[in-house]
Amino acid sequence: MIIEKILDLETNKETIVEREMTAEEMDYFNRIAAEKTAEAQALATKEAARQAVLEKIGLTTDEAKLLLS
Amino acid sequence: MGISKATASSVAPGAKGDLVVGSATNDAAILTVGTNDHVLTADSSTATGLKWAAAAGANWSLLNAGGTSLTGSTTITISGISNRNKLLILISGGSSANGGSDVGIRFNADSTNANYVWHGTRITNPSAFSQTMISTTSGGGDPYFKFAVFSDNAASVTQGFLLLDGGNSSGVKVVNGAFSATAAGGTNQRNETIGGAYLGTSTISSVSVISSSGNWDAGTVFVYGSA
Repeated sequence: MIIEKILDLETNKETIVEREMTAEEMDYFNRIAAEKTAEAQALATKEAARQAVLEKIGLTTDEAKLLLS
Repeated sequence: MGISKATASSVAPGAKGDLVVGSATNDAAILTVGTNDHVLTADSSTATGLKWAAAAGANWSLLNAGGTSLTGSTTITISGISNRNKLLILISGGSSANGGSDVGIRFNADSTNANYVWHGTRITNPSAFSQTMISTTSGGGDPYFKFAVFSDNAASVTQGFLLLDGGNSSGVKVVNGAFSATAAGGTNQRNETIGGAYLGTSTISSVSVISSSGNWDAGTVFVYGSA
């Protein structure tokens, strides 16, 4: 469900409507949700690998940020 | 010497907007109403010496007086736009209740993916460790022009512009624009600069500003139009 606020310049009236998503909007919503989930999982995997490397070389997160800045 | 009574009585407005205009010494004629937003213009080649015509040169005016606040919904639409060949949409201080939301602009309530095509440059800040990334971006599968993505912090703020040309035609409407989104302590915000086209064949009658998830909760959109 999408909430849309519409200002009509011809009448200068503002209305708020609730409508169903169009097919394209639903498809896009699902696609983006799947992409964000995949990105979050990839980021978590990368973060875990990064932490493993830091532990291996004995650096804290702040020390690593300092080196990379 | 003025217009004779006999001449004036045979020249009378026949419809709303008709003007009684001098056409010669002691004579008058009717100039019928012009197209909406046209202005009265001198033209010695016409019988009355006047005509209705579009204002010469670019004549930008703010269509939504004072701007429209970006609050209370995911989609804010300004409708009732007419006879504007050029549109300039400005967003100032826009923010969404949800971090990570897209910033999109749609025309004529048209969510047809294939009508929004663009290429451009994207600047992304993926994480606290990664370097800022610069990459290319392109669209043609989204139901609007996607200009920026808020960071994953709901305090992220966007601002930018989109310029559209050809709004009063049935052909391709060219667009150019650039939007930024602040980090606000978060990451993964995307700033984009794009050039492209809206392929819908109707003249532009509405502009929608979209936060893909979460209601807009701050900011203002200004829509300027020109002949």
